[in-house]
Formats: sequence, structure tokens, C-alpha cells
Amino acid sequence: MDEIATTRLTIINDLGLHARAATLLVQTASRFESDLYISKDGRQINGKSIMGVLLLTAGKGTELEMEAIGPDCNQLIAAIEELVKNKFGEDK
Amino acid sequence: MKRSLRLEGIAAAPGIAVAIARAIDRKKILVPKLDLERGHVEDEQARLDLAVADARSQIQRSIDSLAKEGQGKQHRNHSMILQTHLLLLGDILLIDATKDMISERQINAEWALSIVTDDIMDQLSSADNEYLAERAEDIGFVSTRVMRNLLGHTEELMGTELKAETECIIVTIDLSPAETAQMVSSPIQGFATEKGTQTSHTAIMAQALGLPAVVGVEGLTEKVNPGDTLIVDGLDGIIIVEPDEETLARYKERAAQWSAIENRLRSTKDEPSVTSDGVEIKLKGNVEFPGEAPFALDYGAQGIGLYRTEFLYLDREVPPTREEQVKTYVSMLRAVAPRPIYFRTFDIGADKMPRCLHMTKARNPALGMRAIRIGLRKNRDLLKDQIKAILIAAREVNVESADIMFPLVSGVKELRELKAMVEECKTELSAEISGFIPTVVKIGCMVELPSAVLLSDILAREADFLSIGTNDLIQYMMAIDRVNDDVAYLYSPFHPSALRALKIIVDAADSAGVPVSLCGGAAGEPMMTPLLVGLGIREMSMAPHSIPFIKAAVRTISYEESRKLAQQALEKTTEDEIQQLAVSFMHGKMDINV
Repeated sequence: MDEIATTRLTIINDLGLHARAATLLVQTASRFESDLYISKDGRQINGKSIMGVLLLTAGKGTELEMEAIGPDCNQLIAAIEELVKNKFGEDK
Repeated sequence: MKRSLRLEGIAAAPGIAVAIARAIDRKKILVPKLDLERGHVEDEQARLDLAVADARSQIQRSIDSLAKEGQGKQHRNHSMILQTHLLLLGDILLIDATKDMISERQINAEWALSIVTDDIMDQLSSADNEYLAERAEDIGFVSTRVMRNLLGHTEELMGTELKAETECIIVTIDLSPAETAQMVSSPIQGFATEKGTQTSHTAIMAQALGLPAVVGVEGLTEKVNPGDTLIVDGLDGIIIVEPDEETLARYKERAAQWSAIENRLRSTKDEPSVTSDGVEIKLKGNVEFPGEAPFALDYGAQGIGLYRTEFLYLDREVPPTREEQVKTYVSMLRAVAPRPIYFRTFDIGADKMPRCLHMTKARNPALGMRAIRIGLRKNRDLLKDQIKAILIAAREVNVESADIMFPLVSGVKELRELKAMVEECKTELSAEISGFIPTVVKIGCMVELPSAVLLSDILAREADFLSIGTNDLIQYMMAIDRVNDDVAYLYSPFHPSALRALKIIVDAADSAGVPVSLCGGAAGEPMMTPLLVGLGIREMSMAPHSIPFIKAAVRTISYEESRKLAQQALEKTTEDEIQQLAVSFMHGKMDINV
């Protein structure tokens, strides 16, 4: 049975999940074996799809629910949390 | 089967080129739509995989070459965009969805890809989010790349530079002057575009580089396929796609004739440019880069009457430093000395908007912040830096005078401000560099606005020389947007208003006793030569390749008959009558027929 890890994150970087941030998110998620699903307002997308992440249109302040399913789901969630917390390395 | 399709456009730069077409940024691709026969779904999906893999390695190559080029912030941003493209290439919503579409609808990969792409585009544009709408561009870019690979077109796409390894003709929607400039010393033989007019800077650039070009060809990119054999007839403004043997032979002969005539005319380079009754008409060249100067001299230029310095500012992230400018100006002066160079300070704005100034494109840029307006009101240091660089270069090469001409002067108040600025620069330089004694500066005032024409008597009293820029003058007098093909028909140097304006300016300069020079398209039009000479113009500057033709024209006419011709022309009422008059005057005078 696959493990499941979940978290709720708020996007805090100024530009939101723009192309660069979305690219980093997808690149990070893709390093793990587990699948990642991201939901916003009840709409769920595949977190390893750049198009899906872009279509979320998650600007600054958006709350997202993350669900990782697979053997390394906890590490995946931790990595994403780190990325969001660090504002995707956005230059300030 | 040869199609031998003939397309008409505008002759932008003379000459004939025959080569293979190379398409850039072909926005519209015809998508073949086929129903698959049973059992071919997997083949089609495999074909898609192959096209995606190719696209991936193409993008990876761009990322690698970018990394080799530099590590600056701009490079990182550009590289990030390409990383996004790489992810899009592997995206289930794009690629997997296309595969599903192939099997579900039993259709070919191209058709499936276009349906999926259109669907994503719809979602993005309905998202009512400006940012996402922009991302549609990225998705379009990736999808187009895969589409091209599917179709077997493997040309480099827009965004990668105009690099060519083999002889080819560039076919595209539009080219910027900066892009055109990149074609110098490349195997590119010529180009054809859908947009543009004869007087756009892209055309001027092509003339300077001696590249045959046809612009304003409607439907060009849809009708030409990459790999087609193409004839660019820059003399008549015609493009021939996939010519048959006969046409090809005819054009090869014509190309040979053209180069024979060019060679013959060039052999006149050491003959004096005087009318049959002994009036000297100075012919100079218009150039953008020091590298062009030797070509101009080879065509017989007696100096540079228009050095377009703005090309130093285009296509870069930061403006050129003073040191860089000094270096460029010194090599320009060295190449041309002892002949004079008229430095025209940067004419930025309108259709030449450099990224490095971070100016927003105005709705009507030709009437907005442009040329000296930027230097006087927006960024004084930018103009002062340029003036200082010219002064330092002139001192270093030790030329007789630094001839600086200012574009877009609207009245004497601006001219005075500019003269004061030059004085300011001299003083500051003397303080900055010990022992610096500035060269004599001659200030030229360009007359290219209707207001300046009406004030030319006042301007002539306060300037050291006048220079008439006919392209802008006609544009501003006639209210024609130079890059709008629809109104190009109104543009004519034979227009009665243009002739009257020239007369006003020449008379004003004569009364004030200052030299007046004419630069712009009219200078390079042999049918205009007797009119200009007859109006009293004694100095013209033009695209270097035009000099031999104009010299041939000058040598066949007399000032006396030209003066009478100009008198008659001033009494005519329409441009057609004037052109007719000039053409019949020149008929049989020049044995040049191409």
C-alpha cells in the first residue's frame, strides 16, 4: 500500500507560481518517485505537469493543498515546503 | 513538379539572389490532416516521440550554447525559459494528451498536436490572466517546434539568431534592423519579408549590406516552404518560388548582367562627379558600421554624409560605454580620413527602440520620444556621453573638425540647447582629461521636420551646415507611417511638396552661406538627380551602392538644363507629372537598363 503525505501551503513569493517558480516546482517534484497532486479551490492537477501547475494560476497568497503518494512522499513534501518557504529563490 | 510561383512585393534593396529558402518564425504552418489506417496508431505515436526527442535535444543545445556564452542574469533568465520549454515538452497535458488524441480519433500526429495545442491555448486565454496569456507563447513555441520536427522542417527557430552555414535566402514575417545587421558576413544571400516598406530601416540596412531584398510580400510565409528554391529579384520586387529551368536560366543571366553593370559603374570610382558643364556634386555614403566604410570608399564615396550611430545602441542590455564608442568612432575616422564624416547623434525611437534604454513603446513612436528629444529631456548623459566620445575620437585621430549633426531638430531653441550641450561637453572634457584641447566642432542641423523647413533660414544662421533627411521629411510632411505598407503608396520624393520644401531649404542655406547636404532615399534615385542638382543641391549622401549610378547620372546632365528642369517641375501639380518630367528628361541619357 502506497504511503500518503499531505500539506497545506501558502504561496508567499511576489510573483506567485509564474513560469520560473512552476518550473522549479515541477523539476523538484520530478526528482521523486512519488506522485504529487496539487489542489486549489477543489481543482486538482498533477504536480509533475508544468502545464497543470501553470493552469492553477496561483498568485501570491494562494493556498494550495499538496498530496504526495508513494514510497518517498514525505521527502517530496519536505522538498516542496522548502522551495515555497524560500520563495523559489526569487531575487529580492 | 516545379511550381514556379510568382509573388509581388516591394523592391527594397537591388540585386538578384538565387538560393534555398530558409524560414524563420513562420507563424502559420499548414497542418496536414489525415485519418489513420488501422494499426498505424503506434507508428504515429512513435513518430511523435521522435519529434519530441529531437525538440528536446534542440532546446538542450540552445541551453548549452547559452551557458558557454555567459553566466549573467540575462543568460540565466533566458536559460530558465528554455528549462520551462523542456518541461513543457515532457508534459502529460501536451504530449500524452496528443498521444491519446491519436489513438482516440485515429488521426495523424500533426493534427492531434494541433487540436491539443488549440485546446490548451483556449484554456489559457480564457483564464483572464495576463500572465497566463503570455505563457501561451511558450506553449506555442514548444508545440511549433515539435510540429516542425514532425513535418521534417528542422530550421532553427525564432529566438535563436540568424545563423546560417550554407547559402540561403531568409523568408520571414518581418525583420528588425538589428536582425538584418546580423546578416553581415554570413552566407545569407538575400531576404524576403511579408511586412516592411522601401524606406524602413530594414530595407536601408539591406541596401547598405548589398543584400537583395524584397519586402511587403503578402502571404509569403504561407506560400514558401523551407528548402524551396527561391529567386529574390530586388530590382523589380519579385519573388519566384521553385522556378522552372527556363526562369532560373533567365534570372541567372540577369544576375550576371546586374553584376557586370555594377562592376562597370564601380570602375568609375576615380572619375570626378561633375556635371557636363563643370559643376561639382559631392557624393558621399551613408553607413552604420566602421566595417562598411571601405565598401563606401570603394564605390567612390567622397566621405560619409550620414553615420547612423544608433546601431551601437540596438540589441543590447546596456548602452555602449564611452570607451566603447571612442573605439568605434576612432576606427570609423581612421577608415575614412582625411575625408569627412558627419556623425549623426543617435536617432533612437520610432522603429529603432533599443532594449537598453528600457523605454516603453509609445502608441505613436514616430511622434514621441525620439532622437534628440531623448537626449535633451529624458537622458542628457546618454547624449553627452556620445558627444564626448566623438570629441575624444576626433582628437585622437586628429581630424580637421568633428562634424556632429543632430536629427529631428524642430526649431532654433532646440538647436541652441544642443550647441550649449556641446560646449558643456568640451568644458567638462578639458577638466576631466589634462591637456585636452577639443577639436573644432562643426554643428549640423538636420532638416527633416516640416517646422524645420519653414524655419530653415533661422536654423541656417545658427548652424555650421544643414542636412536634409528626405525620408523622415516626406514621412512627416505627408503623415505617412513608414512601416505601414498600406500607406506606402503616398511616399514619393517627386511629390510637389517635397520639391518645394527642398527649394526653401537650399535657398535658406545659400543666403546664410552654409553648406547643405541631402541624405535619404531621394539622393540614391537617379531620376531625382537632375531635379536635386537643378534645385541647387551640391552634396548628397546615399547608400554606397547607389553612388556609381548617381555619378553616372551627374556626369550626363548639365547644371543649366537641370536648373530649367527644376523650374518646370516646381510648376507641376502632382508627383506623377513631376516624375514623368524627370523620366523623360533622363530618357536615353543613361545606358543602364536592367
